[in-house]
Amino acid sequence: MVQNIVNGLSLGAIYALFAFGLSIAWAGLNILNLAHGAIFMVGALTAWLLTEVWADVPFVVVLPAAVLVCAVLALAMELLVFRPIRHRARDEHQQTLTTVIATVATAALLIAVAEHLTGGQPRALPQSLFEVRTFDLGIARITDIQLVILALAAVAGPALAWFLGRSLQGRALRALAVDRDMARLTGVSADRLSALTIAVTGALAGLAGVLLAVQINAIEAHMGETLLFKAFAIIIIAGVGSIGATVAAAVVLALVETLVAAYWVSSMRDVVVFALIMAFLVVRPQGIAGRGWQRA
Amino acid sequence: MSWFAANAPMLRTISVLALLGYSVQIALRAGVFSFATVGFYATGGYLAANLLKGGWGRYPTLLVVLVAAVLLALLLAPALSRLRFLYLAMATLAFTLFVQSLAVSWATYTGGAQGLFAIPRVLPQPEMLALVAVVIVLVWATQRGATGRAITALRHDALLSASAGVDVARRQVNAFVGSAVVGALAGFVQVSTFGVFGPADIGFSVVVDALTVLVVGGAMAWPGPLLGAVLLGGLPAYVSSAGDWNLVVQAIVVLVLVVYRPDGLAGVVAQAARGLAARRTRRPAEVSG
Repeated sequence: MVQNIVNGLSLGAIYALFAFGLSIAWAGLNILNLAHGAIFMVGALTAWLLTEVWADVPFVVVLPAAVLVCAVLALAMELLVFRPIRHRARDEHQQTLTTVIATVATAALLIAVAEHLTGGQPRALPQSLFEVRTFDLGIARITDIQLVILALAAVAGPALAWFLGRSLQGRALRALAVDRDMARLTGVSADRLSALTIAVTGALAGLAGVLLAVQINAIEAHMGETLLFKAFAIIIIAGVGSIGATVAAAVVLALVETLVAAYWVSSMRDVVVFALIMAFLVVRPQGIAGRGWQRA
Repeated sequence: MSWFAANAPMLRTISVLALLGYSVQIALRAGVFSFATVGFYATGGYLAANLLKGGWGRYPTLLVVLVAAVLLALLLAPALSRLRFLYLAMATLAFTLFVQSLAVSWATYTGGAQGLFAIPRVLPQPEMLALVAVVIVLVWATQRGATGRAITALRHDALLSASAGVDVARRQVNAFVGSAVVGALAGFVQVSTFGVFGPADIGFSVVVDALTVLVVGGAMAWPGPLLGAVLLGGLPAYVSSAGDWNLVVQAIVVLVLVVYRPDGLAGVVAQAARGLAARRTRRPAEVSG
């Protein structure tokens, strides 16, 4: 039982890292980035390319390198896709719709390229990249990768909460979310802020991608889709834009999944997740955090 | 007739793509951005496959598939009806991802990762084309007259159109159910003409295909999905194919179109027609102004 909770917590930490980016881009910029799962996959893919295909780079270099690649990729999306759409759109509704379709196309593009690179096969990282050691705590065992995951999530969560709640950029982002025109009048640059925010969400997706790749050691082009489903459940449970509620929902979801797999049938996991989604949509569609600061 | 026989696979592909595109369009015109189309396509396809394999005829199967789609849509509608635009997009995509996951794990019914084979190919080509034509006529009919104006109005301003007497909630549920029925019909056509159905047929690429058809053809005009389906399904047969890179090219085309041409090709054609008409009627005195 304690063992399942430990495993659930580390899975929940990865879910939370992934869901943060989706939630922030939505709350702050009104962008539902369906390419977020593909960017996550690119993080894992970068780790594989750096270690197995091109060179034998150590983990301490792979992790920041993959995070950087994903941040740059997300920035490229902002410059090539989101920004032109924002500048050309007739109204906000059209901008929202066009942006969602564009993120689906971007995801398709990244997945198609990844299919070529992996040859359509699941790929594994070399054993030497991360020597997994197990520590016996008496009541449960924990691996060092699980410790790394929990530590990174423990740093990233509060850092993001500080960024959104206290920093000048974070305040500007919240102002932008509430009233775009008013924020612009007070000197907030939507373009600069979007670029910064999107780059941060890309970095988070990349971080989650590398960590999950090391944890489960299977990298394939469609790996982001499963995670997107989980992140949707987390956002529906948590509500958009709240870091604390996102963490809580991610941990609860991961624990539920782990326990269903342990004590029932593992193939029932997604059924339970979907049941949770429908239940929250009926009972509390705004999520546990309520509306918070995102646009109405 | 020989052209129809020679191009049977291409016509099957175009038919399924057109139905998928219309399914998304029917919902979208009423302001419901729904990714559930692929979920209904999948559930309709698997249901049809199992019934046909069980020896059912094509019309009883079609009837059951469509009724099941209506019931499933009405079951989901209460949960979806209170959601705003992006939430709705996310929740309907969650439904589709859930159905995809179920298709792999519920192997006794779906054939698991391999899918279902040797499904009787019971739908003759003329009947397939007739089904598509019926859908197009119905879509065309709902885009004109009072119904068409009410739907257009509620998409542009739900609150204002409600105050003008449009029953917004009912129209949107109707649109969602209509979208579900056409999505399930696409599944039935796919299964009963190709004879195979599996996770590869309902994956993320189908979501991309449906959106491609919509974006290429033009999201709102009734000929849009047909135009998009003909281009997406028909062009590879004539133009030298990009081979393995087809998907990459397709994704780039969609990206360029949504960023720079949100009206799609139908919009380009309409704009050109307007331009020609304007040139013909324009007088020199007006041009100077």
